[in-house]
Amino acid sequence: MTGRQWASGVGGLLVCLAVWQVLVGSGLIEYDLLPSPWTIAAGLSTLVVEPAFAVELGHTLAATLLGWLVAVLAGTGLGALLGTSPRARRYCLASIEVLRPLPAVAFVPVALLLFGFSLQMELLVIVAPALWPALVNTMEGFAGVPQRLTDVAATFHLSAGTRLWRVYLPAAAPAVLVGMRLSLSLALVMAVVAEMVGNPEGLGYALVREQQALHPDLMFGYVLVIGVAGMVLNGLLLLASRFALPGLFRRPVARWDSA
Amino acid sequence: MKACRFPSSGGPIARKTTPAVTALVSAVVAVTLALLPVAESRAQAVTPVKTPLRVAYVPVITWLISWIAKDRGFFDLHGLDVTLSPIQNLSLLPPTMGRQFDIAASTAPDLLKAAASGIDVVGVAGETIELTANQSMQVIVRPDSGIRSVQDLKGKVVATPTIGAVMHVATLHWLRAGGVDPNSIRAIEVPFPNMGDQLKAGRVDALELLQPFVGQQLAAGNVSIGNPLLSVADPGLFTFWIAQGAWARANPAVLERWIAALKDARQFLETNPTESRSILAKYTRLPDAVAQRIPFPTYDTTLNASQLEVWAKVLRDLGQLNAPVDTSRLVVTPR
Repeated sequence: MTGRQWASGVGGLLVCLAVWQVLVGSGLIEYDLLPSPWTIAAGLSTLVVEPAFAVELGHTLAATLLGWLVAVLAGTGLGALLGTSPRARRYCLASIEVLRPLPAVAFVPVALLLFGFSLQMELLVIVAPALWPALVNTMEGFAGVPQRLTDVAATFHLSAGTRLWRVYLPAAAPAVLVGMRLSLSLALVMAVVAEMVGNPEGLGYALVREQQALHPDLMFGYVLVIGVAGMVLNGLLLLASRFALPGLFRRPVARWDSA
Repeated sequence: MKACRFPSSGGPIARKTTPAVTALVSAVVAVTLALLPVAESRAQAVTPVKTPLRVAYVPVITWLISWIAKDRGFFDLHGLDVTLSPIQNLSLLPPTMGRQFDIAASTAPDLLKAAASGIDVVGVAGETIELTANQSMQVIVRPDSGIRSVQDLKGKVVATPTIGAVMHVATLHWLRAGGVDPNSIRAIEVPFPNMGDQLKAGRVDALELLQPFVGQQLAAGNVSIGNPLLSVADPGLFTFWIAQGAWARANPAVLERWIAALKDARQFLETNPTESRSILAKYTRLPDAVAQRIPFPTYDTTLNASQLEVWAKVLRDLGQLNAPVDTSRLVVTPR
């Protein structure tokens, strides 16, 4: 993103916050549970220095990353299998399409029965929906590898491992990465949801706790923290993939110039 | 989750130490480790072993006497080692009894529905009752709404904390007793703190509210049209403690100590309201101004089957209890 893009993005946000501040500050909008951005900022500044905050943030991030890791490992593995085997696709695709839209929140009572109020319960609620973006995108990526590439691989009699590593993965990488990013944001959302309705730990529980304790400033503070956590996680994933797959991120402009 | 930190071993200082020093340190560590079990068993011999109890509560004033018992040492005094865990939704608790928790917060509809679906769960001690002289629930409307009584609620939108939970069941019974078809209202789940704003915005017509939110809304100029809990019974059972049936029947002595500790806590509350309010503020994190003013509910540790039977009838009349439930088997309290 260029400096100008950043400036206009931040500018837009500041205008929204200023309008919000004026509406609430002037009393035009007066609700008990809608504090002004300034009050939220003040609440946030007291919140982040509390030792409990680090524990809550750590719990949610750990649950998110752990759940995401499981979802991505299982999702890309199954996705690669389904993407390369038309027969596997034929047998499994209908089941996947049935399972995919099931709302994970509906699994909370089942997860609670199985694991009680615990991290395992939270992981089940995270992994169940976060699996699908990784699986479906990897499957599409693998299935969409151009036939001339697979033909070349066959001509050279490449082994299965070499074919996967040298042909399929590089060709499918953009799609796999999209799946991983979608899974990550979903994992964070589901971690927060699982904490709000089930496991009483982390940012999600803290958010509900502050709402019930009549601290709307802190509640919105936690909402903001969750938003920033999502941004940071996505940024880190992009940064990591830039290192792992440098070819993917060559800027198109530069490529046309050099051509 | 707790972060684990280990002291760093090695590093530049460790590398400089001579083998003799290393040997000496190892010997000291070995001797200390060898002695630890001895010291531990001695410590155990001096202090009698306390019964561990895993207890789940909801962070609202209803469960205050259990926090007082914990913080003022009444559980310790009665030989109980109680771990208190906050849970936001008590409807989720019955299936966890005997698995993750030994004793948990509950209400009659939650217990009866769980028992009807075959879960081995029983009431073991009372917590709060609702009575005319001290009311914690009210149905609140705007003063300009034209709603004056339960009959005016026909066809209105009512905000409830949880559809299917005690306060909404009571409200449906109240409507039915007032000659209003319970199906004529539309119930919307709204957390207590948000209810006032929803009423102000005109999204809902009436609120099923609990203290301290009742006090807040009355102070804001809204009005009460009645207390549905009193239509069930007056005085009536509101909240109580549950446990797994098999566990409760096998541990009457533990339950006796649990109730004794709660009674001590209630006594403490009566004589030390100021300190009790600071315990309340600690567990609920309510702002000080609210924690200082919120009225205490009526705590009563007695619990009997007839109190539950009243609720069973209410649920049956509303068609919410489809399997037969024998309430005489759903209360296990020490003689």
